[in-house]
Amino acid sequence: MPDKEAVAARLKSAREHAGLSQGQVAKLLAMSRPSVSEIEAGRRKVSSDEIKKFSDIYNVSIDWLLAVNTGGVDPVVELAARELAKLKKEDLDIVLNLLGSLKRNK
Amino acid sequence: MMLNYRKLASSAMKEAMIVREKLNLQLESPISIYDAAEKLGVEVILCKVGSFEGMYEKNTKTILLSSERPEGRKVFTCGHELGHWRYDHGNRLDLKEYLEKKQVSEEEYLADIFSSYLLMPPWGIEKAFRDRAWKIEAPSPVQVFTVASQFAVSYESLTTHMHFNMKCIANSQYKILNSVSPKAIRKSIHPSGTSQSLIVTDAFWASKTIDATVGAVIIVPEGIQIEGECLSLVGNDDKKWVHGVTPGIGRIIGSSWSAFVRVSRPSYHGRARFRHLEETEE
Repeated sequence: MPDKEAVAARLKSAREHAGLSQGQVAKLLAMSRPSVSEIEAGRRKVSSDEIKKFSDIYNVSIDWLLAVNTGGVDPVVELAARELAKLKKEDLDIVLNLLGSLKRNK
Repeated sequence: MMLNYRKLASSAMKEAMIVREKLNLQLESPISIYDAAEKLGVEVILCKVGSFEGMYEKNTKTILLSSERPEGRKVFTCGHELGHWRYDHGNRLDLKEYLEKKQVSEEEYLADIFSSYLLMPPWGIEKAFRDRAWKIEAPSPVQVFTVASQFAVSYESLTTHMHFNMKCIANSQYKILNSVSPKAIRKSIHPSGTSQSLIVTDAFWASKTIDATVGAVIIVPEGIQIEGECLSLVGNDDKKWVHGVTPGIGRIIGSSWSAFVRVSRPSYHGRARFRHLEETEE
């Protein structure tokens, strides 16, 4: 069973990384803003249909949203990048979190 | 191993033209790089990070770009990363291992040339100068800045492309253009020219979309009208300009052209497709 708090935290993080406010998500998904807020606070149950919709607008995998793999982000990625050695630790964390959450095999 | 730059450049130019064809773009038209990536099924995410320009991740077909860079630079980097996508670059490596690995210069060179031709097709650049009756072999800095605006690239990207790839400006002219800073050019065009986001349109403008950020200044020709709450028209009798005031999509309508203006939040972090989404009332 997915951990409700972990799912709520991932929904919030995915929304922020997608660049959306709660109000914008509510508008895009035709929900009320308090519903989005309640879901992210872990106070309202989120349906499988809603999870699918969140996964689509945030472009993250459903498994990641449901916190199925809680063993941390897979550090093995296939990158083409320049000057990665200059990447600061905090920026690297942002990149790894993002890449670990995204939908794969499109 | 010595790289055969001529061969690589020829390959990258061809690939860029194939991609333009796939996107149903005319050979001379400017391209909106974020729209192009989306149409090609490549996700673009802008990240509020300062220590990298951009990268491409193969499994998720995702381009990450630093939002902390000037607009023109982000556009060129996005084109560069799209080059990595086109060439299927990306090595399956442990990230820690990758950090210690030297960059693959052939791949980077290909991606740079791909980006140059995708964003600045020679026919389009030549036409832009011809339409304005400007000499392409001896342009002034303001003229280069104006054409760069139309193709949404930086002044430096265009001068480099015109000299090294198109070979239409001689070394002496290239040095002259390079000796003038974009900041000095911006200042000569607009009183608040220190702003990074200055876009110059004129009567010959030929791009259907303008990507701007809140705070950007868009110089416009006489007699234009604007639509949309994200824009405001200001200025005096001598010169008029449009300000990006809030995120959203607006429109500039001139006597012979019109363009959609997409105003995004500055230092935006998120999916590129949502960058100009309007704020909602809380």
